[in-house]
Amino acid sequence: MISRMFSLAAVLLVGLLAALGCAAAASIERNSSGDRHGSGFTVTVFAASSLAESLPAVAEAFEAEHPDVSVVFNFAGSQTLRAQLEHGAAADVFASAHWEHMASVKQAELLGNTPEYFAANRLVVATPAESTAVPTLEALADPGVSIAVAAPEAPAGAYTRNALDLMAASPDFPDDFAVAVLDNVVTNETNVRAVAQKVALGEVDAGLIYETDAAASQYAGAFRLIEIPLRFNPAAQYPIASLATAVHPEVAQAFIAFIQSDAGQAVLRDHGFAPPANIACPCSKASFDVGAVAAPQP
Amino acid sequence: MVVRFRRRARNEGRPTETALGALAPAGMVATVIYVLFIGLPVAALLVRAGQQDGFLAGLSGDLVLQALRLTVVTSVISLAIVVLVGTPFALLLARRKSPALRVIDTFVELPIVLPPVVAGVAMLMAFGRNGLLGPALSGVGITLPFTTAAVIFAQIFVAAPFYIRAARIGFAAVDPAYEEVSQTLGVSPWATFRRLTLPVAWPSLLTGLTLAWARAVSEFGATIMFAGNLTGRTQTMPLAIMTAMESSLGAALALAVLLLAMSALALAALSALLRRPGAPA
Repeated sequence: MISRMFSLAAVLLVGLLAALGCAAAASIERNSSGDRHGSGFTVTVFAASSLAESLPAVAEAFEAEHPDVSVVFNFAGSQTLRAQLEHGAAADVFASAHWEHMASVKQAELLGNTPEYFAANRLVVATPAESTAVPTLEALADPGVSIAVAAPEAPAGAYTRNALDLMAASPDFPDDFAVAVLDNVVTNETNVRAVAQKVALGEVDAGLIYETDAAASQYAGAFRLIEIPLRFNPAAQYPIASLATAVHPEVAQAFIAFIQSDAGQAVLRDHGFAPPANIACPCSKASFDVGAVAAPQP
Repeated sequence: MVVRFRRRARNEGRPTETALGALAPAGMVATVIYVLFIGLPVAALLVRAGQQDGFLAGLSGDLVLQALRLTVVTSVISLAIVVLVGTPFALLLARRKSPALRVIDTFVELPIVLPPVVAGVAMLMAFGRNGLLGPALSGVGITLPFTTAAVIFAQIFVAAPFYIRAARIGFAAVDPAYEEVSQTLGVSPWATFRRLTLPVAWPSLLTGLTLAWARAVSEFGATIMFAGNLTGRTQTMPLAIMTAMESSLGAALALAVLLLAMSALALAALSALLRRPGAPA
């Protein structure tokens, strides 16, 4: 009898410990989600890594106006965030650096409203400040040069390949320019900040990043920049939308509206972003094809 | 970990029921929970892979084949280097006692507890172009970061301790008195090692070898930091899975199932070899 009771107690203990583990994990998650105001709201924003300084600055201004709201971020390559959302990650707002990832999330019926562009950016070639290996755009194709770019799935990687194709198609550059530059690529990073980091460390001769990355304070003095002429460098348009999983859609919507307001736009401009083009995001394009974004590099 | 693994292999068929007693029901519940916890995700991976469009295309796709080839080649090279350097090192650790060796012995296992991404940053700081040895290396025309050699460096860094640790334990289990007797009987040191020490330590070496190989194959953090992510050159299977998760789930599942099969095969081969009576050479 005593032994049976002991057995039962042990079984219960195992179950209890498992339940306790789950409860503890849930409590940690609640506390870490930035809900520091007790009764306040938390807005979870999945944002492209190129927004890593600018959006928190916007959020700070937003929180000053709305003391009961705290904004928390998950920064990664837009394609990583898209994959996380499509596999069930819960968030309130998605800010992508490329419309295709927004379109993919929309197609999965995960958006809470219609995406709109809120900022624009352009690519620039960054080299380590002291390096002379890549003095000009043309030198990107020189044999032996090592280049870091974002992976083709990442927005910056897609824009990079687009810019290289435009250069190769122009009479100013040799026809095989894009192929020669991609031959010099030594790493396809999963987000643009990883590219910036590799250049700042001096581990590669050059990298293609956004102008706003080059202007980020932690890289002050780390880069020498080579501009890419506008005709090869179409602006990267950033769409934003609330998500169907938003716990408080009206709060998510308020934050998006603040980003689009004059106050929000001023902060983004301070961080080097251009105002968005006055065009609709083609995010509901029916013929969207993930395969086209993910085509393996030559 | 290694020790426990070995002990279980030896005690097989000799259950210690008495110690269980009244705890048996709790043990059974815990076993069911644990088996489900590990088994369900593995089963789900296989089921999902079977249903996924493009799974078979993924298996024979360029991304998968290049990652598979790179992973097999680099892990075999890493393992060969680990065995060549690790075996005499482990033998010395097992036979000689000195304060310096004792300190080294403690730190041999550091890479096991170190987060791999820290290993990657550390190697970049040491062997990177602007690292401590960077200028010296580039002076003789060697660039390590973002090359296949960097993949091998990363694998050796994280995997070697698993082999060295197991080999040291294996060698320590061989009584030096027997080795002395063998040599007084006129058997050369090399023949003594080959015919006495090696066969006795063999199960340990094999276990260490399998664990080191599995760790090398699964290496991710140090590789992406130090070797980058380039298809065919530095993109091993774990890196390819991460890349594919963001573009083609079929390819990601194909890679995941391949890695699962490789790991299961390695475990099965190890237990078959350990059970086989006799030794090599």
